[in-house]
Amino acid sequence: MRFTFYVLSMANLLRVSKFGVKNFWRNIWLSVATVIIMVVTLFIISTIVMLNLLANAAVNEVENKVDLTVYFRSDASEEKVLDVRTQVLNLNTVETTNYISKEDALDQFKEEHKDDPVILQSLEVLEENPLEPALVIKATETGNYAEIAAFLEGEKFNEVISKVNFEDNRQLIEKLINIADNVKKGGIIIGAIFVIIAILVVFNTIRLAIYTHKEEIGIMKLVGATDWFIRGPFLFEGVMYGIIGAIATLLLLYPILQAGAPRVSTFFENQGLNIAEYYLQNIWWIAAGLIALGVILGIISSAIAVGRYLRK
Amino acid sequence: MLFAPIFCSMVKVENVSKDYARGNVQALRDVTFDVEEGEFVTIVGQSGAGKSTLVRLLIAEERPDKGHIIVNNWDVGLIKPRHIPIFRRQIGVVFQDFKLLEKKTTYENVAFAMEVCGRPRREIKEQVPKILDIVNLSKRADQFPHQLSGGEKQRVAIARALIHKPKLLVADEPTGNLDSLNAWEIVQLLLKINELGTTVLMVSHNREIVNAVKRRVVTLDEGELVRNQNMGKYIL
Repeated sequence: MRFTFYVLSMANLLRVSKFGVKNFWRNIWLSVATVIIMVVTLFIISTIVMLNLLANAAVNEVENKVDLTVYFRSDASEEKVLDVRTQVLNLNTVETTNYISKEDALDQFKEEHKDDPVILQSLEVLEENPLEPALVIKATETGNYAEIAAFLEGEKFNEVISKVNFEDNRQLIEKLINIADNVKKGGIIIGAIFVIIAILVVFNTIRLAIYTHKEEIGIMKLVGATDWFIRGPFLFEGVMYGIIGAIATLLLLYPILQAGAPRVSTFFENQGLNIAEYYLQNIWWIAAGLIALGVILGIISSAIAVGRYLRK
Repeated sequence: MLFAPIFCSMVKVENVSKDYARGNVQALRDVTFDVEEGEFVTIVGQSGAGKSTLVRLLIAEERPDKGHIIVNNWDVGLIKPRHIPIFRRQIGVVFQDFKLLEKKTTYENVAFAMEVCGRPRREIKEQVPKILDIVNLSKRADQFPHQLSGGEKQRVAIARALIHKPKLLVADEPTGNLDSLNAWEIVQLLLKINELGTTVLMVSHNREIVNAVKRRVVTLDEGELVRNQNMGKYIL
């Protein structure tokens, strides 16, 4: 009995699907136009998601580049400098420190300006090393730099520390976080607009299909077809728009990401981020997400279209 | 379909009224009559008498504003929307304009009624040829409606109406678009179906046909039932 029910249900599902596919092919150009709108919507949403990911990655990248540099007085003894370093390391807001002695600083300076003979000659003229020892500090979190700076700017370190440099970086980080937030908010609004457009377009297409089949639907009602048998093909058609749109979007995304990957990689030089590779590595998740979204959009639109018609 | 008629009502119309345009148009006014199981009843009346309204009420396309219509033990006024498909499978309906699907063959038009009700393919292959045989259309199974005469189209519609083996067949002006010869053939077919046990309710304004059938005639005039006669005639 159960098997018979299952077979009958499968047979009905196949019939409903067959009718749905027929509807799709019957108005093929309208179907193509609808799929294009679906592709545009899914593409926009994918782009927004990617932009958000990139914005967050950019913030992380800059945060990684941010550090706090403490410049010590030239006359400060190495013992006092190393004592400051120890006290800084004991702070639980500090992740790492890097001590650059006067000699190391001079070597680094000469390396950076090796192609500038004027600067190198100026250094020859000076009797003493003019550069100051420095301590480069990386905090556990970006928000901790202010606390570390306040600690170092305290009176007890006045004799040893000449300058604490981090203010400029904080402003840059805050600006970047602001931009990332705006990208997210803007993305949500634009995404929502395109979702509404897609729903309306699919809705109209299904309504037109229903109108085209008005006669058939009337006869179906007359001979005792259930509402689900009448609804089914149109819901299936909506699902088709979603799936085909998602697959087309997936195919479209890869070449575009391939083209954009070198530019993105340049920016994220330290992280070696290749968006095209990332896309391929996560293709199944991305495909599942796009198909799910496409199917949901398709079903919502067609359900509304059919529901309104059947209520009449 | 073969059973002996017993004395119970297939259709009970009790004090039924139906208005349109917020009560400005009274399509039916306090109409009462019964149709026994196995009967052949013709409903006659001029245009606007309420015949088509009555048909719509009988097939639960609309509900009466007052009174009750009981069809095959279903109270039309109380049927839940999700039960209407089940109800409709127990009634066969035939219309003046045939309501066939032009892009389907005779076989497919009749099979369609079973497909949309989820019947298995095997059952469809068994039943459709039998029904086409009853209406004498076996040789036209592969032809499209535009290749059929008016009478043949109406026979396809009747075959489709019979595919669920209904106890009641409602025919709304089945001969309205046919010439006299085809019209009489259709009525003969309806009489044959009635003989096999199906209750038939035919709406018509064809005087000759009604008078020739010599069965019960219910006459409507301006929404009211004015006559209900066994072996009735078309009198208006």
